[in-house]
Amino acid sequence: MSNRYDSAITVFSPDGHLFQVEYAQEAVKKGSTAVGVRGKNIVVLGVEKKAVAKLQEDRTVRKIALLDDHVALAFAGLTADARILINRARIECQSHRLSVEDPVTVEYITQYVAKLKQRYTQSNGMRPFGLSALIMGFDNDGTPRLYQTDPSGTYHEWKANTIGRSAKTVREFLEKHYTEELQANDDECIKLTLKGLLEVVQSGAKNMEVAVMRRDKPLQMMESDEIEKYITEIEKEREEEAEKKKQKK
Amino acid sequence: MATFFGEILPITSRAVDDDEDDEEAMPAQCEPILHWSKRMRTELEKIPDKKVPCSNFVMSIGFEANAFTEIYVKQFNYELVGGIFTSLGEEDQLTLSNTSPTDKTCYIYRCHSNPSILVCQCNRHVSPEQSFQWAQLLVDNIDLSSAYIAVLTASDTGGYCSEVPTSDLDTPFLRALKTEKFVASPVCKILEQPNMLTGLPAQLMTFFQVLRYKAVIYVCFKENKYVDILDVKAFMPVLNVTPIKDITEPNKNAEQMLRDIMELHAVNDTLYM
Repeated sequence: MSNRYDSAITVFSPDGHLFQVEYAQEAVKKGSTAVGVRGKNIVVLGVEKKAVAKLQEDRTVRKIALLDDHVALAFAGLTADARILINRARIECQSHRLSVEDPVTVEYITQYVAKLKQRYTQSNGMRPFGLSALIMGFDNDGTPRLYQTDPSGTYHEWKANTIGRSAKTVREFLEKHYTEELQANDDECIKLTLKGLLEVVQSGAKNMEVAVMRRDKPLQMMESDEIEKYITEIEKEREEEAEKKKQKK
Repeated sequence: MATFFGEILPITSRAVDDDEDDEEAMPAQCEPILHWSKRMRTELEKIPDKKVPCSNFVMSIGFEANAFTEIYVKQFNYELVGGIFTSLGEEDQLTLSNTSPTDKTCYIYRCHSNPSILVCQCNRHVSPEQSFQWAQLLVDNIDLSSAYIAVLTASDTGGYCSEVPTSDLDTPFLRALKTEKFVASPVCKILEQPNMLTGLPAQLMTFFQVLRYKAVIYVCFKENKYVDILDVKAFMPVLNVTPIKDITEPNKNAEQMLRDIMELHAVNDTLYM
């Protein structure tokens, strides 16, 4: 049945599916995992970094992009679609600054991205954007924000969320381990992001990229030895826990 | 061609492109050939029915399954005894010396310490048309009548039918099918209808069922387009059940080997990121 209704994106199937949009969501899963965690004074984005070819400049292989000084985006899905979307969002950020003389709020730019995506699900001769995005940043009043958009143009705010490959596994992990106390501690937020990534990324710090934004500070990409340091801490904690469990037995 | 008025004239229409040559795209194929190593051939001389005796047979098809057998099953002390070749030409030469890990080969290995354990790693694509002869060749040359057989392969979740939406599936996951004669229960769920196997794995299982062999197949359903450690590790539960548990030992270097294999086969494709 799906075959008859999936060639045009603007046609519903009798049971109410928009197949092309659902297929676009499958494209998101082809991308590597991205995790976002929001704390009280910090927002963290962590992504699984693709191994680059020997002669490739890895400067140009990026999953995290800065939209404005205070807003960053991580995507999972079609790289080329993401580039177009990021460009449009960057222009909107600047245009907003010019016309309103204020930087965009994170919700505003998320809404803009989602609006663009939604338009591509309702017009003829178009194809939905094959990507989901985690958009993080700080509003003018200093509130940390984390939003997620998907190919259909839906967007929601989250305390912590993940997109891309094995998103379900990582989301369940985050749901289990995200607590109110954790929010207040910046280091714990970074660690939770890394732990989430470690659920699906096997090769450790080498294949991870972490971006951290603190209140009134620019986006900071963490160096790999810094990530390594956190991972050793995590491993140590895990060992200690295992040790404790053993003793209880 | 037929004209508008109905007569058949020896003219060709200009509406279609005559240069379209579909036949050219078909790769040259031939009947599959099984080639034993020199040592194996001399050994076979002594056996009356020319069939290699076998007690445990592990067959892996596709990258994930092969990486798994390479690391966890066929760790050491295996010798290359033969190969099955499907298309003779540039890409598949009738030689047992293509031993680079990225070569597309289909080789049969034998355990040194117990020569009745055979492992076949198929890295090559076997077309559905060839798979009948392929399976026939295998059962004609290896005596599997009393052997425990395990087939490992991977498939994409894209075509997997289930009651829950595909976004709710915990991928990668294992499904199994077994022949009637295989009495042990598989380590995971049986592949639910209407899902089915296709191609070489299906053909092999059909043969094993018809010939009343003891065989089980494990299929790993994965959603990844590229090689991934998790997809290989999805086979891990298989290590604890018959017939594979009897022939393996824990591999201490597994993690490192896995990473090396991943690196070797990594595709630097940034279409999806």
